[in-house]
Amino acid sequence: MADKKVLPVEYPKITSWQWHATLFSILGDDENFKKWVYSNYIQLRCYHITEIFTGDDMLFADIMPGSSSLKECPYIITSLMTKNQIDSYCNGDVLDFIIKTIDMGGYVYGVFDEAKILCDVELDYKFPHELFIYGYDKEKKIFNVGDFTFNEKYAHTTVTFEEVERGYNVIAPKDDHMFKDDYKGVRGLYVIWKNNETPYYELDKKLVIRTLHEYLECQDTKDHFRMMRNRFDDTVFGIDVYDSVLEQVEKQVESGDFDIRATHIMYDHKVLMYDRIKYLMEKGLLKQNQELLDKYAQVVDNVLASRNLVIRISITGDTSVKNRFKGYFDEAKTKEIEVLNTVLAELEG
Amino acid sequence: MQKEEIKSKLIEVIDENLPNIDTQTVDVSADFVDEYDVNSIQLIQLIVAAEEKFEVDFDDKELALSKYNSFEDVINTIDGKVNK
Repeated sequence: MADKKVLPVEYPKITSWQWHATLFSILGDDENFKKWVYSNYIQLRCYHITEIFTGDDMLFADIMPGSSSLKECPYIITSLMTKNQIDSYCNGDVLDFIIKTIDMGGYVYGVFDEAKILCDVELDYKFPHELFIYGYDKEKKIFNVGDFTFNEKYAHTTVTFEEVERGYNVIAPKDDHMFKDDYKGVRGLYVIWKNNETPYYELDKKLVIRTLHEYLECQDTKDHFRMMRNRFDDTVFGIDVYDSVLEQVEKQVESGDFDIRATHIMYDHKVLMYDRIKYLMEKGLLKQNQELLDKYAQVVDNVLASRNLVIRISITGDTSVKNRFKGYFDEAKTKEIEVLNTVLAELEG
Repeated sequence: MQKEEIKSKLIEVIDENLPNIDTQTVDVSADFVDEYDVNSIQLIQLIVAAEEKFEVDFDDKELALSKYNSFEDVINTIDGKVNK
């Protein structure tokens, strides 16, 4: 067993949710991975949920395939390990389990109480959050981790063995949101193996066309997956997500209780869409068209400006500028529809 | 306003708004993301405070972290607004 090992990671292109940041940290700019990403990550969806930390209503927005990407991306192999398995394999020593997994080339991802990581004193509340672990140093007694919590932005940083152990031990099955929806009464960790040497997935023009239609026509993309899941029927899809997020931001401006996560995922969606269009041009599926790229860059800029405006309002409390948010969104939506219709026409032509 | 004065006033703003940065030793030309872990929210906090201090306005599109590599870039933007 080594004294130190750090598995390769890259700073992720998108950071809005931990599952995306983790997947993109592991696979980065891998050419095979790009073919899968640019064939997917097209449809945007949102629905209301109860926020797991506060119990408040939250508009949850994500790019499909959402958190399933950590189980279903063809360039990783994910093993779901229950706590009982981990206890059995390593005599209840989760640190030993994590170190052995990293030694074998496996990344570890799971829900830990990050309040126990952030703070030494006993707290009467938990902050269950996914932690991505990709390395260790036995001498310094630290793990290399990817997370949002410790640096106020997504960062690859370190936490101590003791903090990880404390954060792991106090999680109950009901806190483990990675397991509880599908496997009641069970908690555990994901072990993720990189599996990108063999090309398993070609750039899927047919899927890109179908999903762009579904995005522009606000169709229910999850309907294709009813075989596996059919619980939620209150989801908004595609271009309509602009309206849902606008409505949510207007409520936030009224209440003074701000949450930029939905606008941030929209920004990540536009960043990926811009890169997708560029990639399709590089691969010859679209003809080179700088004007089209520049027009979509304005969509990206507008959505970023809208997210930053929400941050500005949350700092200054000056709600008189709120109409600018709608202006940015309206312009972004109009331009995005124009660009994507052009892209679709060319792909179908 | 001279650029040196803008720099020293901006360092005051950094001191008041970004407590994790030691303004005694701060290098305004350093990459502020790599060197000082500046994130989007901190940059916007800084700009909002600078708007008040220098009586200038930043467009919402000038709030993007990607527009700046260093505090020096922020100083140059303020310089362009104050001395236009």
